[in-house]
Amino acid sequence: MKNRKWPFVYVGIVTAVTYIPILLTVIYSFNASRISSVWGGFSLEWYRELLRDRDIREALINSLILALLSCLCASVIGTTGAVGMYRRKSRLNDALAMFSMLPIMIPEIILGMVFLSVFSLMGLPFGMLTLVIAHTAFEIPYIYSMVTTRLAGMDKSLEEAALDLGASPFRVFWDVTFPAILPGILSGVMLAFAMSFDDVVISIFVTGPTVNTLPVKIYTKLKTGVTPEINALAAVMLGVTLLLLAGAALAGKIKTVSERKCPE
Amino acid sequence: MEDQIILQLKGIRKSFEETSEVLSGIELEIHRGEFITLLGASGCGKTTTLRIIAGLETPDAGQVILEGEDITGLEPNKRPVNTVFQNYALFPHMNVAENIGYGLKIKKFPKSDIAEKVKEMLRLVQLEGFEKRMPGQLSGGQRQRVAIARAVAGQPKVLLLDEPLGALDLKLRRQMQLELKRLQKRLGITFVYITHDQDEAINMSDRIAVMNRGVLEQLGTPNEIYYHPRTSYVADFVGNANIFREEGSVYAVRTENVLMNGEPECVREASVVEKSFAGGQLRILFRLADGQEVTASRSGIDADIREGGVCRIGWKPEHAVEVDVPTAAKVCAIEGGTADGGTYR
Amino acid sequence: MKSTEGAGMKKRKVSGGGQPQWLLLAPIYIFTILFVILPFLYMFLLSVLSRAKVWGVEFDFTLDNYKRILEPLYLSTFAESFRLAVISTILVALIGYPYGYFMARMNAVWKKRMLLLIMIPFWTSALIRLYGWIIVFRSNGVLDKFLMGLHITAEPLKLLYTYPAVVVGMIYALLPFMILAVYSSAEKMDWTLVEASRDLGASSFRAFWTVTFKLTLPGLLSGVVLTFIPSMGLFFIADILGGNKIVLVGSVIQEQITKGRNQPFAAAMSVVLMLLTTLMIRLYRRITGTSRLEGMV
Repeated sequence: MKNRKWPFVYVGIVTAVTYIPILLTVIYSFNASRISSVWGGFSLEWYRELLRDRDIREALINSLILALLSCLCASVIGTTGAVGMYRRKSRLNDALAMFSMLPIMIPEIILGMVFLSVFSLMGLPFGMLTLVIAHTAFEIPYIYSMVTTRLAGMDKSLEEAALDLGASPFRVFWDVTFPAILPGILSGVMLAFAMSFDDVVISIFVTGPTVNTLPVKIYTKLKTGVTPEINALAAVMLGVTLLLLAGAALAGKIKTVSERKCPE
Repeated sequence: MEDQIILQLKGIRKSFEETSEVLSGIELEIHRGEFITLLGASGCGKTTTLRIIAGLETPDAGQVILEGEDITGLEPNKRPVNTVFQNYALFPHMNVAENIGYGLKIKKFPKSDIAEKVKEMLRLVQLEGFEKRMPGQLSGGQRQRVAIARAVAGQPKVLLLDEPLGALDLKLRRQMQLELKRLQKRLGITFVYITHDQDEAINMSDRIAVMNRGVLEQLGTPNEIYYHPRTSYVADFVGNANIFREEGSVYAVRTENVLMNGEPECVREASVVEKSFAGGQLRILFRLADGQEVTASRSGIDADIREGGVCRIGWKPEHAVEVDVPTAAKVCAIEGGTADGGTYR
Repeated sequence: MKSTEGAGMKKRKVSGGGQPQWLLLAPIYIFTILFVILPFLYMFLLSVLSRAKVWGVEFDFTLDNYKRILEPLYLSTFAESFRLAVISTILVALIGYPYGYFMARMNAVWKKRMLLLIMIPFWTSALIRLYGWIIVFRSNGVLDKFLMGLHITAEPLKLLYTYPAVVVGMIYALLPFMILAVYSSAEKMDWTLVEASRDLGASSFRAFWTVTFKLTLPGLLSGVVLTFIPSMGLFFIADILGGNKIVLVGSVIQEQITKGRNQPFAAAMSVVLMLLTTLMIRLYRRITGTSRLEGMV
C-alpha cells in the first residue's frame, strides 16, 4: 500500500510548488504595503489602482481584440485548410502543411524577427494589422492539427452516407463534417486564444509604438520596476480563467449527461 | 423481359493506384424486385462493385445503367439508390428520427410528411418510440434497424447493403436475416446484398453472384450455385467441395456426398488422416493412394472410423460435378438433374 | 484515351465533384506562402546582406554576419543559451517524466483533475507567473523569510537575478509541455505488457526499464524537443529573473534589431538558431521514426 502512496505525494508536491507563485501574487494583491516583503494589512488599494490605470485597460482591450481577430482568421484558414487537405491528399499539400506548422516548430524569437524584417520591407504600418497577421500565423498550426486529428478520427462513411441520401457536397459538409470537427475547432481556438493572449515575444517585435498588448504592457512594467498593481491584475486574470474553466466544465457536464450512453 | 432489368453493369473495371485490378470487367444484370447477393472472400471486389453502383467510386471503364439510363458519371447524391453501410454510419449528432428523416429533409419534403414517414419506417423496423434516442444509446441490432430505415425511407429504386449483419452476433444475425428478407418482400425494392457468409447468401437470396479476384465467377440461384458450381472456386467457397483433377478435367464432390464403406460406389482405398467434430458435423479427412486428400462430412458421431485406419470411399457419378470447363458451354456430369435438386427455379 | 480518362477519374475522390476544392485550400496556401514561406526565404536572404550605413539593408552579399557569430562574444552567447537550454531540459525531464508517468497510472477521475490542475497555470499569463517568482526570490522575499525562519540560512540568499532563478523560471514555464507529452504516451500504453513482463520474471525495475520506459520514450523525447526549442528563445525569462547578467541568443537577436538596427546580423543568428532546432527535430524523427510530436497539441 505504501507503494501506491508515494506517486501521489510526488505529484502533490510538484503541483503545490507550481501553485506557490500564483497563490503568492493573489495573497499579495490584498497587501496594503507597497513593499511585497512586508504584510501591511488587508487592502483593496491595488484593485482600485488597477481600475484607474487607463494604460492597462487599453492594453487589455487591445489584447482581446487581437486574440479575437487572429482566432477568427486562424480558425477559418486552419479549418478550411485541414478539410481541403483531408479531401485531397497530395505531396504538394503535405509540403505546404509542413510549412504552415513551421511557426510553432521554431523558437518564437525567430518568428518575431522574421515578421519584423518582412513587415518593414513590405512597409506595413506596425500596429494591430501586423499583430493580427503574426498571431494568425502561429495560431493556424494549433487549429489545423486539432481539426486534422478530428477528421482522421471521423468515420468516413458518415460523409458517404449523407451523400448517398442525396445531400449536396455543401450539405454534407454542413450537416456531417462540420458537427464532427466542431469540437476540434473549439479546442483549437481555445488553445490559440490562450497563446495569443499570453504572447510576449512575437508581439514585442511586431507591435507599433501606439498599440500595447497586455503582456507587452506587463513586461515593460516588470522591467522598469515592481508595482503591486500587477498582483491585483494577476488575481483578476486567475479569477477569470477559473470562471471560464468552471463554465466549460459545467457545459461539458451538461452535455455528457444529455448524451450519456446506455450500457451495452 | 427488357424492363425486368433494373440495373445493369457493363464491363466495369477499376483499379486503385498502383495495385492490380480490383474489378476486371464485371457484367451483371439485376432484375426488378429481386434479392441479389454478391458473395466472395474479402478483397474480391464486391464492396467496390457496390460503391460503384452507389456512385461513391468511379469505374475506370464500363457503364452503370439504371432503368435504361447511363448513370456512370452521376453524383452519388443524385442517384435513386441508397446504401446501408457496414458500420451503419448513423450520424452521431442526430437522433433516430433525424437520421431516418435526413434524406427526406434533403429532398425538401414538408415537415409533417417527414414525421409521418419516420413513424412509418420505425413501425416497419419495430422501433416505435425510439424517435428521440441518440445513436450512441442504441444496441448494435437497433442501430442496424435505424440504418435500414434511413436507407429505405426515401424509397430508393435499389437498396445496397454492405455486409449489414457483419457486426452482429450469430443469433441476432439469423433473426435479422429473416427480417431483412421479409422487409424486402414487403417493400418490393431491389436489394443488392454483400456478404462473405455463404449460409447467409443461400438463406436470403433470389440469386447469388459469386465473385473472386475482381471476376464474377458464377451468377445463379442458390440451387444452381450450390449444386451446379461452374468453377472449382465456387464449388469450394459455397459448401466445401473436394476438387479432383482427373484426365485433364476437374471435378467437384461435396463433402456430404462422399460415401464410406459398404456402398457399391466405394471403390477407392483411403487412409483416415484426421477426425474432427464441429458444428454438429463430423468431418473426416482421408488420403487416397495417389496422395489426394478428401474430406467427408456426416451429421452425428460415427464411431466406426478410427484415425490411422483404412477404409473404402467413393461417390455416385452424378455427384461429381465437372467444373472449370474452359468453353462457355457448361457440361455437367449430371445433365438434367437428379433427386438432389438441380431443378431450376 | 481510356487511360487518361481513367487517371482523371481516379483523382476524383468521394465528395469531389461539383465542390471547388481549391476554394478550401486557397486561404491556407495564400497565407502560408505569403506570411511563412516568403518571410523565411527573406530571412535567409537577409542573413547574407549587409547593413546600410544609415537605415535598412543593402544588397551587398557577404558572409560577414556568419563570421561575426564566430566571434568569442557571440559564440559564448550561443554556448550560454545552449547550456541553459540543456540544463533546463534535463531538469524538466527529471521532474516531468515521473509526473506524467504517475498521472497516467491514476484512475480516470484523478487524471481529469490533474490535467485541469496543470492547465490552470498554463492558461494564466506566463509573465504573471514569473512575477510570482520575483516575490519568492527577492532579497528578504518569501523564500528568504521561510528559510531564515526555519534557521536553515542565516541571511538573505538574494536569489533574484541569479542563474538558479533563471533556471527555475525556465523549468516552471516549460514543465507542462513535458508532463503532457509523457502523459499522452504513457496513457496510450498497454499496461498488460508490464504485467506480462513481470509474469515472465522481470523485477519491477527491470519491467519498467525494458517495457514502460521503452514505450514512453517517444513521449519523453517529444517533451525534450518541446522544451528545448522554446528554451533557446525565451529571452524574457532571463530578462526578468536574471536581470541583465545572463545574455541569451534571444536577447542578442532582440537587441540587434531594436537597438543595433542590424537586421542582417539578427537574421544570421536566427538562421543558425533555426538550423539547431531543425537538427533537434530531425534527430527526434530519426530516433522515434515518427513525425508527429507526442502531446504537442
